[in-house]
Amino acid sequence: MRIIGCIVEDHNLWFVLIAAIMCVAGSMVSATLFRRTMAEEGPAWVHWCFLSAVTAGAATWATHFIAMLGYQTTAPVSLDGVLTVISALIAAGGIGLGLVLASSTSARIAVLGGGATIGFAISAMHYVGMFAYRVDGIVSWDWRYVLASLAIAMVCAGSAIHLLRDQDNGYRVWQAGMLLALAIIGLHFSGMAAFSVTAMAGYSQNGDSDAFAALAAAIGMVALLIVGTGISTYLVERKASSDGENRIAHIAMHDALTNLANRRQFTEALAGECNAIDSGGQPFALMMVDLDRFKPINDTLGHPAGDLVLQRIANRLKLAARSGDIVARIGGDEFAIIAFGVTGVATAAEIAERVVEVLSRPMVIDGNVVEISGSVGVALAPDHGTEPDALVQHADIALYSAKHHGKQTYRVFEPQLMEVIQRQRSLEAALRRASMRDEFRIVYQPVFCSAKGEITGAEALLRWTCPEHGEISPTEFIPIAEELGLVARIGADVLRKACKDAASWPAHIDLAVNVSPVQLLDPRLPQTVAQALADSGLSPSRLELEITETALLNNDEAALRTLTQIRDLGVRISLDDFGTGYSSLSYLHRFPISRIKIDKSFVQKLPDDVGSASIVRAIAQLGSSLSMKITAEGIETDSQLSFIKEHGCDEVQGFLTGRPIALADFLVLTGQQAENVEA
Amino acid sequence: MPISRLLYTSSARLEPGPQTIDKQLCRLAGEAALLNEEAGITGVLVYVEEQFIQVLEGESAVVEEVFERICCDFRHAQIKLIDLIPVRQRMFARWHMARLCEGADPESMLDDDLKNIRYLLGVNARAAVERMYETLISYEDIDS
Repeated sequence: MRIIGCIVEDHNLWFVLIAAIMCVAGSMVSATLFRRTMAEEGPAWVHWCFLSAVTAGAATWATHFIAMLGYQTTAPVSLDGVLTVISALIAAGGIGLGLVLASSTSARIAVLGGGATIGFAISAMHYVGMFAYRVDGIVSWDWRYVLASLAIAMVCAGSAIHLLRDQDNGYRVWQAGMLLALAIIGLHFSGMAAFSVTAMAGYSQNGDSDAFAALAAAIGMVALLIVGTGISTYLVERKASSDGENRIAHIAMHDALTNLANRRQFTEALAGECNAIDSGGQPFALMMVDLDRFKPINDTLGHPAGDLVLQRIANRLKLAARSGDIVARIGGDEFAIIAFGVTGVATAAEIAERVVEVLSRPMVIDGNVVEISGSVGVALAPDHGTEPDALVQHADIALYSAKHHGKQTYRVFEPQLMEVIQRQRSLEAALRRASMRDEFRIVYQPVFCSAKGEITGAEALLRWTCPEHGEISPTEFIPIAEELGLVARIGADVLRKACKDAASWPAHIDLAVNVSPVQLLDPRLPQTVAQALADSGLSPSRLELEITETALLNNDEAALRTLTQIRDLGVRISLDDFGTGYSSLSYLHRFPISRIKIDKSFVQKLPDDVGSASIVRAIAQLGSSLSMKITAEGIETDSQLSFIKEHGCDEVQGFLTGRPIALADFLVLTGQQAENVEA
Repeated sequence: MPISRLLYTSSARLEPGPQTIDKQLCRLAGEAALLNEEAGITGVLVYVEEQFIQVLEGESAVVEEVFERICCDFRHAQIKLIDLIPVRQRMFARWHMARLCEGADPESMLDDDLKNIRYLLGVNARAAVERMYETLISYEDIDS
């Protein structure tokens, strides 16, 4: 009660109010600075320690000083300058020492050592300040209050340090600030309660009171300046570090090259949207975007050009998406779009179509025209899932399907696609096993001389019976084998086996083997062919390799080299499926081709379809003028056969003349033929 | 500074609405001309049978930039890059973007000329560009 009485009766309340504001504001700033100091390390810690100690010291000291000005006593008062300055140094130095201890990793040293030191420093400042306060009267001290004031200061400061050690909770700063304020206020007024003055009779107030007030004001002002400097230093630093933090946050969430959202931000946004949808949020579409022909750009134009392409792609994607949608780069040439508020397939399709279109547009990079395109897979939430993983998987399946349907297109997920993909996946696995275990069979389709009707050769055709899915057509499994990188191995096996088989045939029967475009890219192909011939003893002149025009399309230099080497072995090259691809006549001229095989799509429309008839006639003429042999494939009717004969195709092949058959049956067939010829 | 000439075609994706096709075209071409002038691009824009044929000439890097902007613009559809060649000097140096529009003057021979240009484009792009220049010169003479 004496403390409250001391505040109300002995103090000028205006000064008390100012002191209280100073105290609370100073304590808040001190708590903030303490927390910062305790989090720092190295040289920065030393600076922060100094700044905090000076600011907190000045704040407590100013509080004490202002409150003292409000202390009303009848006795005349003067101030000892030296002791006053010493009291300020004690405050700053003591708090600094306390902070050193409070920065310790040990909780005991920090809270008990640091807190007590700070509490003691504040107390020491107070009492030294009281000695500087010279009152002309009889001064008496009540030691119980002195001890109580020390205890209050040390316990409050220790608690404040304890709270500030919890760096994660920002709210703690306010609590610690209030405790520091309590420490200072509690100390001051209990300390003042311990202090009483009785004016001595006969002394009047001396004339120094003006000088006293001026000195007090000056000291208070300096203290305020120091506190102010501390606050503004802290604010400037916090602004700089929050700018830095924003920049770091931006870097963490964005792709450096394209400035799109990165995989991390995409994952977080997708998870967020999925959570929102569970609690009644808006539907949205997830689109996976994959560039169809990006790798060759890096390979041919170099990585800087590739980077520029990616930047432009990023820009185009942002324009194709609507504003507010998230466009992210989630891999080298993989992008994703989260399109918000997409309620149906129609809206999603519209956006996906824009994406496909804008990606298919030409691009000029350093004078080079870059032809690029993209495929898009779309999954809708919540229709196709509300879990991020399921949505990504479904969008990926749709993308996979888009890529397998000619690329440069989009697909919206459908449950049926799952089955297609599952079949694809299980075929892939089965095909890997098959190529290890050699599960492929070769059948031979006889080729006949159109004039005499004799067998002149056979085309080796690959057959595969999948243990799970049964007979699989080569048109289905060859592309898969190409993708899995198995085709070179399978192709080499076929070549080896077929050559071995053919070596046992009558010498006038030739062998034709298909070579896929991927095989043709392999520079080891001539070596493989030579090896197969050497192992089997088949004469090179009896072997013919069938290639398609697509194989020549993009890599004609490499293909030309490989084909020339094969031709030099004595092996002939024929052009399969002629008329279906780009059918550039320049290929016939530039490449060592000795035979053209007219595609069955023309032959099958014979003889009624005028267009097909004239194409077949033209190819036959072309063959005779370029001295190339012509084979007509896919003969199914007699009228087709007679048309072909009439127009001078050398050889025929088709279901009418002979279906593909197993080796044993083929041997029987050739044996019969041989007998027929002999008879 | 290396100079390039770029030739592309596109079909205009015009909005159905109260604005006539002519007005929309005028606005499109006007916007483009303004940007081109700033970028130092010259050339000609032909509109024939609902198709744009445009020649852009200028510093190579700038031509690239302008063309990329066009490729980002959804008012164009089916953009096809026909030709891109380095040139010694500009052919259309006098026009920031000359315009040749079908149907502007039904009496003139312009429509036939433009259709010829369009046909020529599929056969020989460079000849088509020269034809555009000649057409532009001859109609400019008549106008003046």
